[in-house]
Amino acid sequence: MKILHGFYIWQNHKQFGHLLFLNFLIVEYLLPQKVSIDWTLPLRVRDFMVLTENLKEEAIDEALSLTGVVHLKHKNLGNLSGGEFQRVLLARAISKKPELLVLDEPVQGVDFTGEIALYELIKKISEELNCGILLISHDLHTVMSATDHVVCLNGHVCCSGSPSDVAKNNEYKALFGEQAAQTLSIYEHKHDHVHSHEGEIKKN
Amino acid sequence: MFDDFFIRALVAGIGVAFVTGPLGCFVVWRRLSYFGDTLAHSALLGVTMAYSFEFNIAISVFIISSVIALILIQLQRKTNLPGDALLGLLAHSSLAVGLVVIGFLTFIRFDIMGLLFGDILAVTVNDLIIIWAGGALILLVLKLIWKPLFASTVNYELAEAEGLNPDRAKAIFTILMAAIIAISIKMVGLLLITGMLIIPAAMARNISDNPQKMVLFSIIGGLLSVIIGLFSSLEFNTASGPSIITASLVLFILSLLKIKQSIQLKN
Repeated sequence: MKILHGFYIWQNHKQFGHLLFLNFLIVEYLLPQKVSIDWTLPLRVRDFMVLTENLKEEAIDEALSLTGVVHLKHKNLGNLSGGEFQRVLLARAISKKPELLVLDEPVQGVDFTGEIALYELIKKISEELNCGILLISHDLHTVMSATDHVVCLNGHVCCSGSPSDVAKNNEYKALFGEQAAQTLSIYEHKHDHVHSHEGEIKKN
Repeated sequence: MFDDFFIRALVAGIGVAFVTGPLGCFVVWRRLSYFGDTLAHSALLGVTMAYSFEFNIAISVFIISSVIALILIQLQRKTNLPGDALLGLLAHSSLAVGLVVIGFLTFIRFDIMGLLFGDILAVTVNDLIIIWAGGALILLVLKLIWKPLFASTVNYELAEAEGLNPDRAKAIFTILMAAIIAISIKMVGLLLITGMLIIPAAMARNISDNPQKMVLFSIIGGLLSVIIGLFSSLEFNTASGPSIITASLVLFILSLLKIKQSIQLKN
């Protein structure tokens, strides 16, 4: 993640403006891992939303309601639960209208039911905002059941591809064991079209 | 109208309170009260330098405090000592060196009590200009760095990830701290400057739920402290600095009542 992020920053510094990657204009937003706030600060959710950027009131409401926490707008940030706080962080990310959202272990400090809801929310965001999600996770169930493309890292790129391809990969089996590979439910991405090399969509 | 010493002191104090309000909030948020103390103690060295070389006190204090801040940053990089030990080292050694130098300057009569605790009789029209012009400059710079400074106070990584420059804001803020100490030393005295920064801000924290409100209440608290403190200083013939700080303490205690009230309302 650091590498990708570093590359983006490097590109920006070199006056490339935005990172051109696979013919898509990518405006990346990286959500730092484990954001901890000093609770001695008197800070409402609203103040937190406009921390680094002046947002219009409607933009704040829109982002907060998309992650389902608009009712917490005037609550003190210190009184939120772990899951609520993650949702506020996601709302902040959304308000920047990214085309690629980079999430590093986004469900840390969230209980099991909250975890499922949060993953569903991330999925909803990617659909509604039409933005790509790069998710770093050690949670095999999520990785294998809800993603389009998996890159398995173990010091090096161990294997990559669609979840079903990865599950069949020998190195992957060696890493997690045969059983793990079989018990996990795999999400098959339905593709009714193919992409030409220029990125155009061709119907089958 | 500035002929009367009391009017001069009042105008000077009000000018100082406008600046210590917002700066004090950051001192509380960023946990810099001991750092402020260190800079204030080193101010004594600045004052002796000013007398030795017949230089303006405020400018001399500003230079010495900035140098001490730079030395601190260097020591933090070069040694393995914890931050508070380094702060204590610099605070007391600069205070001690300052007092030793005063011992050598036998040809000048020092009002040590005035330096340590503030002396309203000593405020000149020249000081008023320094306080108001310097104070306006400090507030202007603080406004310019507000966003990166505040964002990095909330969370350093977040501020950095969103393209702000927290380190530069922090460095500029350190210089602003040295500047506020330089302009307020005559008013409050070097032992009590940090109190003037922290106590109104702490009072404001008790009664506010967002940063803007806290800054506003901190300024109002500082103004009330200065006005009440100076009038009681005149009335009871007490030193100005301690009177101002005592007034702010009373305000702080009153703000605790409000907390108690809101806790009772919740239950």
